[in-house]
Formats: sequence, C-alpha cells, structure tokens
Amino acid sequence: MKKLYFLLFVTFAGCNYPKDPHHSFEKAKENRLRVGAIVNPPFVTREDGSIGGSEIKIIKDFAKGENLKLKIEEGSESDLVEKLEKYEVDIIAGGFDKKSIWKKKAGLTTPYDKKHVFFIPKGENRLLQQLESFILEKVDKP
Amino acid sequence: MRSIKDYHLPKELEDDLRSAKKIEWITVIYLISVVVVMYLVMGSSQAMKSAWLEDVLGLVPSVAFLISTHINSKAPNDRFRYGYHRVFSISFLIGAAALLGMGIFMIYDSSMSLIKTEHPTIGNRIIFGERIWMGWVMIVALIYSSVPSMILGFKKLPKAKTLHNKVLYTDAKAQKADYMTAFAAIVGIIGVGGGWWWADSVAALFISISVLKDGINYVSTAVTDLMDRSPVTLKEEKEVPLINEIKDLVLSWDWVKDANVRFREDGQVFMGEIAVVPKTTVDTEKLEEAYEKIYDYSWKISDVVIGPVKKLPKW
Repeated sequence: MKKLYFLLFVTFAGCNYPKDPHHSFEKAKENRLRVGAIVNPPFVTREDGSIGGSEIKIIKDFAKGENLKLKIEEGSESDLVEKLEKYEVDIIAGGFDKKSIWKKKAGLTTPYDKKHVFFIPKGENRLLQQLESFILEKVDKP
Repeated sequence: MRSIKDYHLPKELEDDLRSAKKIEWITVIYLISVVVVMYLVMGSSQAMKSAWLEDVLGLVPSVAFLISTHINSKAPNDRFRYGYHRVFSISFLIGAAALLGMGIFMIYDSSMSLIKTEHPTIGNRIIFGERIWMGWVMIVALIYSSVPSMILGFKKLPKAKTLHNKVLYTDAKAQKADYMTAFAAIVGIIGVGGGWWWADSVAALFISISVLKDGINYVSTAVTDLMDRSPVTLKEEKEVPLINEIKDLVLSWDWVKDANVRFREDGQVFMGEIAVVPKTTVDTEKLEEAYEKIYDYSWKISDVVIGPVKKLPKW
C-alpha cells in the first residue's frame, strides 16, 4: 500500500496536482488575488478607510510568499459569497467559524486557529492547497 | 419416525457453518473499522460518500446472517412447528430492501450534485508532520475498504454454495464486488484532482447504479422465495436437480406405481410433499423405510410428508 501511495505521489506531485477546475490560482498569479473582506473585528477591521485585522494580515503574508498582487474588496457576507460562487473573488475573510452556515455555498479552508476559516470557491483545490499549505506550515498556532 | 425435530446439518456442513460464522464476525469488525476510517476522511466527495454508504450497507447482510443463524439454531417447538428456517428468507428480504432503498437514494443524491454542478472541495491536513492532500488519504482508505473485502468475499462464496445459504451468498457477492466501488471512487477522486469536478459525481452515480441493480435482483429473489417458488440454485437460478432426483428415487421403489413431488425453499433447507400411488395396499413398514431413505438421500430435505393417494394430485 505504501508503495502504491508513493507511486501515485511521484506521478502527480510533479505536475500541478490537484488542479482548479476554474483556474483560480493560475489567474491570481497572472492578474491578482481578489480578496473579499467583511468587517468583523478583530479579524477584519477598518480604520481610517484602510482594511486590516488579523485575517487580512494572514492573507497579506500568504500573497507576499506566493508573489501575488492583492485586490481587497469590502462587502456584505451574502454579496461576497455570491461573488465567490461566480468565481469573482478568490478568498473571503471575515472571521468565519468552521461551522459557518455558508458551508453549502463556499469551500472552507482548514482553521488557522482551530476555529476560524477562510472561504474559497468550492472545488478550487489548487488554490485551497496553496492557502492551506501556508496556513498549516507558516501561520503561528496560538 | 424421523421428523423435523431430529433434523440437523451433517457434520462437515456444521464445520462449514461454524467457519462461515467466524468469517462473518471478522467481516463485521472489519467493516466497522472501514466505516469509521472512511467517515473520518470522506470530506465533501460524493463518490466517497457513496462508497461509505455502501460499506455501511455491507454490514446488513453480515449482521443478518449472524442473527439468523443464531435464531435458526433453535429446534422447532409448539409455536413454530416448522422450525426457524424461514428466518433466512426474511433477513434476506430485509437486507435486499435496505440495499434497494439506498440505491435509489444514492442515485438521487449523486444526480443532484451533478445537476447542481457541485464542485467537491478536497483540503489538506497535517499527517505525521507532513502536509498531505486529503485526496491521497481517501484513496488509501478506499484501498483499505476493498482489498480485505474481496478476500473475505472469496472465502465466503464456496461456503455459501455448499450451505445453500442466500444471505451468505449475497454478502459474499457484494463483498467480492466491493473493489469495483472502490475503483470507481478512486477514479473519481483522481479526476477531481485533475480539475474535473464532475468526475466525482459521475463515479458516485456508477456506484449507485450497481447498488440499485443488486437491490432489485435481491428483492425479487427474496420475494419469490417467500412466495414458495420451486428451489433454484444460487448462481444460475436454475431448478435444483435434487427435486427430480427425489422423484426418481421414489419411482424406483418396487411398491410405487406413480409419484409426484413438490418442494419449497425454507432458508437453507427444502420442505415439501411427495404423493405416491402404491401398487397394492399401503404398507406402513415400507412407508417408514421410505421416509428414512429420503432423509438419508440429502441433508437439504428437512421436512417431508409422503401421502399415499389413489390418483396423483395435479401439482
């Protein structure tokens, strides 16, 4: 079984695997990473017109590590989730709980602090893997 | 005179039954572990969900077999004068109905996720300090759910045939076919990783169709058994040769002018009647001898009535 696992790993690890059905991550590399932000202190804050907060910091660090340009857009939960479903934003930050009611409409990342998650478009597994790699390996666990 | 109360399986079949029971216990424990493992890794994959449901259902025939062999081991009594053989047919029907219902649900569920174009999201976890895509973990779980299943299925099949036990047979066949399910689900997950979100639901749909097909087959077999159809073989569902052999045996006796037989399946044994037209008057000594000969001819005959008649009934 280990052999098979290894074989599969070798076969697929080389190319970009898993892939995004809608190429969210590739597009983010080409253009920029579109982030939806819902103000919810301390995760997402707005002070003097600029968006900040602990979750925005995580995303900024992630974008920096991946060499991505950022475009942060503020909005309401329902508007942003709708945009997410149409692949018009790539990530939503807003201090969401891992048991969020949006689970049916959005893809959830692994929690960065055992409780809170980001949203990504459902099924965009490449983007998810990049972001989760960052969350799992780089974000300091409290 | 020997009767249904004296009935017991021949020694070598007792051994088969005992080892079948042992394998079924192993199956139950193994399947529970599979159900737990699959549940933990299934995530939002539709194919995994279908494969998981199939594994949960896989418990039904095993448990049904264990319960019904236990009940069937009781001797006939004043309340159940024909014994407890039919418990097999009943548990077979229950298992088959569960399979059928689940098949319908699974087809609905996986078609809906196709129609709603649901994209399965498969994340990552840290396992032993390494970040790993859960798709790989799912595939390993699927292999765990299929290979031992296949082996158990192959072990049960010959025992089911010698015991003529339908519950055991269904179970063995379903387990043998388990690798198909796992394979479909693996293809689905690899497809999802390749960026084809629909691969998962299509795989799930395939699994569901196979479950539904089995369900329909087994329900119809179970119902026709309970309807007292003439005994048929497990695999080809052809008439059991034993019935004609019994008729030939009766006809070969010198005091018998003509005879007709009628049998039905009661779980793993047959029960029925034999009508004979004697050449002269009925000799109870000969009749007694006839019972012995028939019971000695095959262990499968658990209860028989020999009725001397003037003219054969139209069976």
